[in-house]
Order: sequence, then C-alpha cells, then structure tokens
Amino acid sequence: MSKLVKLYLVAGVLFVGAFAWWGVTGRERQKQPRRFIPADVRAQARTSPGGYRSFHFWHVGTGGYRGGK
Amino acid sequence: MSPVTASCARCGADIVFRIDDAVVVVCEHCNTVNARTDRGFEDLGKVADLVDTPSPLALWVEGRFLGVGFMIVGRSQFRHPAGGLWDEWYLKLDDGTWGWLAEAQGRFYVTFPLAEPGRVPPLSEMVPGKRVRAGGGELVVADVGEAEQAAAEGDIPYRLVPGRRFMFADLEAPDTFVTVDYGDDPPSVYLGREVTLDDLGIDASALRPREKRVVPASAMTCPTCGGALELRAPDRAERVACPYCDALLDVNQGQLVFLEALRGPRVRPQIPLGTTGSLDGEELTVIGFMQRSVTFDRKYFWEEYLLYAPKVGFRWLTCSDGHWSYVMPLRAGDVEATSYVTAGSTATYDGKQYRAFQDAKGTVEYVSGEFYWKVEAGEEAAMCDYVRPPEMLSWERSGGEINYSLGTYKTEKQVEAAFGVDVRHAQAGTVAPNQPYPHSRIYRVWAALAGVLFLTMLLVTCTRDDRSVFEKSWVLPPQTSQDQPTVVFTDAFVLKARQNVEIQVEAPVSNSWAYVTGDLFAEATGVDQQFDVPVEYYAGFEDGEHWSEGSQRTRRYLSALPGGRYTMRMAVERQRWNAPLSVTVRVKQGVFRLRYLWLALLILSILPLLVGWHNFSFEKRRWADSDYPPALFGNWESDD
Repeated sequence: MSKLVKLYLVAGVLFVGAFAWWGVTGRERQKQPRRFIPADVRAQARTSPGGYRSFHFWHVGTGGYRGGK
Repeated sequence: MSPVTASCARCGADIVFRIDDAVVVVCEHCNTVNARTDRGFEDLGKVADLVDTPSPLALWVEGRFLGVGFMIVGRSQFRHPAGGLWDEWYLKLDDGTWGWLAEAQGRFYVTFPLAEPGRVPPLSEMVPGKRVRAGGGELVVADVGEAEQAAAEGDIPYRLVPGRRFMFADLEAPDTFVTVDYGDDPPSVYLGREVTLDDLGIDASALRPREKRVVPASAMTCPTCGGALELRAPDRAERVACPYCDALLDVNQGQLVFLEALRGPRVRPQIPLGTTGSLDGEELTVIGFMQRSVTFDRKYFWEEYLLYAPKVGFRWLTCSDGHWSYVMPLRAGDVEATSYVTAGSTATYDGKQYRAFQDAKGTVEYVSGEFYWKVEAGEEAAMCDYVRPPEMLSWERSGGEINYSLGTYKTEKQVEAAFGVDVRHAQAGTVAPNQPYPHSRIYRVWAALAGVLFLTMLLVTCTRDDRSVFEKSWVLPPQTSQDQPTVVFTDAFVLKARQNVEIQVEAPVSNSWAYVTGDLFAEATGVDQQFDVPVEYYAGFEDGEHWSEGSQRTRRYLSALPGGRYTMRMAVERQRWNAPLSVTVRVKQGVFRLRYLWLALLILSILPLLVGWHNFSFEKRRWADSDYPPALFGNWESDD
C-alpha cells in the first residue's frame, strides 16, 4: 500500500467517522442563528397577559425581501 | 517373476532376466544389450557408461503408484538435442504392466504406453506452443527434438538399440503429460502425468541422497586463462562463461572444454555472481548472468540473472530499464496461449488471464557464469510477453522447445534488500510492462469507505423516526401594511435531542412570494433557533411552452436542538400583502438527508478520481511500448 493510499485511508476513516458523528448528532450544514432568550424576558413573559406575543424580542424579517423573480 | 540366467552374447558373463517379459537386459560387465529372441540371445550393441546424474532413484527400488505396487527394474539415458541427458526408468507394476518414469530437470513424469493411441498428429504438426489432439485430449506441444539412446542398465521392456536416434514430441496439459515416439512406426504414444516422489510412494530411506556431482579440481580452472572457477550447480551446469577471460566453456563429463571467446564489450552484472539473496522466502544464489537484446528501431538491452538453489531449482531475475522481475518456470501444460500472437491475444494461467504485450526475437549478447543449457552468444529465441501487473507471463521458443515462465515485478528496494547490493534505479517516467500501479489499492479503500459510509447512513437512518412532530394550517388575514408581517404562534410541541429538524412551509403563491421569519424557542431553556423560509413560485407560457420556477413548498433544515417543548413564532410577509394567504407549516424530525450522503461520497471520491486520472496516464505510458495496446491506449498518431 503506497503512502498516498495509507494517507487516504486514514483521512477517509476520519472523514467517515466525522460523517457518522454528524449524522448521529443531527447536525445540518446550513447554520441558522441561535441565541438565548434572556432570563428576565422569560420571567416577564410568564406573567404577561400576552405571554411572548407581547415582546419585540424576535428577529425581524426580510428587511425588504422581494422574491427571486 | 522367475529370473532367467543366461550368458552375455558378447562377453559370456552371466546376465539375469529378472522380469519375464523384459525384452532386453544390459550386461553389467560389458554394457552389451542382450535381446531375448526365439533362437536365443542377440547382441544389439554396446551402450555407453551411465552418466552419474543427481537422480535419487535407483534400480530395484520399490514404490506404489495409484495403489499398485511397482519396482524399478531398468533405466535408460537419452541425450537431449539442447544438450544434457535425461533418465528414463522402467517400472514393473504388480498388475503385470510396464510404466515409464522419465526424469528431467528434477521433474518426474509417469507414463504408460497406449495400446490404441488413435490418430497421432504427424511430426510436421508438432510445433512448440501449438495445441494438438493426442492421447484423447488437447495438449500443448512443449518440446520436439531428436533423442539419442546413450546408456542403459537392467531390464528393459522394448528392443533397445544403442545409439538409436528418434524424433519425439512432449505434450502437456494440466495433469496430463504425453510423449510421442516417432521412432516407431506407427508412432508410440505414452500417456501419463507429472508426479512427485511422494506420489510414487517410495520409502525415503530407499532414495539416493541428492549429492552434488564431484567435479575434479583440475576442471575448476578455466582452460583458457587458468582462472579459478567455482561451479555452484556443478551437477546441472552445461555451459560456463569464464568471468575473467570471457571464454565460453562446455561442461563435458565434468571437464571444461573451451568453445569460443565471447565477443563484444564486457558487461558488469549489477549483482555479482555468487551473491546469495532471499526472494519470496527462497534462498538463491546468482550463478549466471546474461545480457540480451531485442531490435526494433534500435537495440534494447536487458539483463537476466540465473538464480539457483538445490531445493528450489532455477529461477531468474530480470532487469530492464531498472525495472526488476523475479521469474519462475511454468509447465507448458498449465498455460493456455496461442503460438501466434495477434492484437487482443490473451494467455491463461492458474485461472488468470494475461494480455499480449509484445513479441520479439531476443538475442543473447553476453554471458557470464554457469548455465543449465548449452547457451551461446548470439543465440536467438522467439519471445512473447503477456501482462497482468504485477505479473508477466512469457514464452520463449528456440529450436524445438518452448518454455513458459511467470515473472513478478520487484522494486529496486526489494532487490537491494534481497541481495545487499545497490542497483541502478529505474529511469523516471518509465513504466515496465508488468509494473503495478502503485496507488491502485485506493479504489478498494474507496469502495470500503463508501460501504462504511452507506452503512453508517443506514444505521443513523434506522435509529431515526423521520416523524412528524407538528402540522398546522392557517388562513392569514391581509397585512395591515406592506411592512407589517402577519405573526402567528404555534402550540408547544416536543422535539427530541440529537435529531435534525425539518420545517416545511407550504403556501399557494403564484407568480408571487411569501417570506416566513421564524423563531423556534423553548420556554424552559430559553433556546431560540431562528430561521427564514422564502416560498415563491412563478409560472407562465413563453414561446408556446409552459415554464415554472420555484415551488409552493419550501423546506428548511435545522441542526438538532436540545430536547424539550418548543413553540414556534412565525412572521409572514408576502408580495400580495393586502390579500389573505393560506399557510401550512409542518415540522419533522430525524429526516434522512440523501444529499449529505452524495456530498460525502463526492468528497471521498475526489482523491480516487485524481488518482484514476494519474492511473490512466500511467497505463498509457505502459502500453506506449506495446505491440498490442488496448484500443483505449492505442497509438493515435498517424503512420505518416
């Protein structure tokens, strides 16, 4: 087995291992922003009549999405 | 068996016919061949003294072949046209029949005469390498020549005439050996097979030890220059080329006789004569060296080293352009090859197919050391090579003989390690006919990795639900303004940990768009996963053809979230903001992503694809020197 093939074997095993880990942990390629709602917001939301609906915490929309056509 | 004692027709000494139906007996005193006739005993002439060959067999040794006991009762020695002798032992079997046991080059063949041989091909059809029908089967002609009855002893089952010359043909097939004796009219056919001493059931204590023939000390010096010659296979050597004065010497009855002075420049072997090395677990000594050539547009040279070990026999190590091959002889009957090569011809050995590479006429340019045949400078042989890297199957035909061999490619490092010498390295960029592509194993590794990849994906998929966790449809009222999206909140639903999330938004948009800005959040932990899902669909007719773009259903995939209860907030904007819009949202988990499998496979394939391209270029260089390249690597240049 040539050095190149050995190298490929090692890299391939690592890659397949990473792929398996990726699959097992339910990862996705595209990263979507993820954050935490501050504890005080959560506390207030529990007591607020509108709950979370009352807050303007959520991320804003398109900022002018006009479609792809 | 009742021995009959008589007197030798020539010297009068007692001779004993130990076997009832023996035709002749050789007088132990005067070597006269006495034939038993109706009128007494007839003197058929004298045979020469037996040459002491390294045979382990002897008269009166008993054995058992295919369950039938036998005794060796007679022996003849024949001269081969290529030089040297072979022994033929005569077996008297317990069932009353006679068997022939031929011994040559350390190999044994048991044959029995065929009473009704059927059609025997005429001698003119016996071309070495040609396949013929004889003895009830198809065989390849291995050797054709004229033999001379030289010496004999004991009881012989036929009318042996001293000095008789006759044409013979040896034919081989797997597990079959046939000899045709054209000295008889009609030709006699002997059918049998190659055997080992074990097959003959001879007790080991009855075998003679294989002692080396003792060569007189005086014969160990070159008769031309007086240089001391050390014969390493004295019992096999037929020719010796003096390394000091380049005199070619014939080995005759243990004496070295000057034949000719070798002309041409002296060639120094890369591995000195006498060097011992280990290849494929066999300890061998370099006993001979040859430089040979073929002529195409110019002369191309290569080197051949004759290796020897008493237990192994002869092997070859060849070197061409710094590329080495370790070569072992093959039985003609074990190889299927045509005697004439055309494009696409193949040869088969051991169930493997070899592709024709080149045929040419090889010429011996220079020799040094000792050889088991009567080698001559200028000796020519028709040669053909078939390849299946790292192996090369070859045949060489000269005179009436064809020899098959199998070479296995060896790297310079392997040769250097085996013999402890430095050798010339292969010229960069050159590819030997049987040189294996060094990275070819990458394809197997790729296949194995791809298999593991599929299995992994299968395993991951099997442990996933691919389950729907939420689905709901809304009819959204018109937006209050273009910049104010319609906001909806879902009920809480449960997401499992370590499973991806698919969010599917479906809206019947047509030539317009809708845009969902979402938050998937867990009240308990405060995790807020944001996402955006545009849905747009356009369709129409242009030049009489319908076209469409986009879809009314869009999916977004999110990495797994911590397990727990989640709520989704969605803010929906759309192009037709002042009209109501029906929206359906589905959330799934553990979704199989075929795209990732293909992507992973693609990444895994990048290097093998590059190697494949390099492999192609390597093969192209290999076949550039071939007479019979495959169409893929053929010569695309025009003849002019």
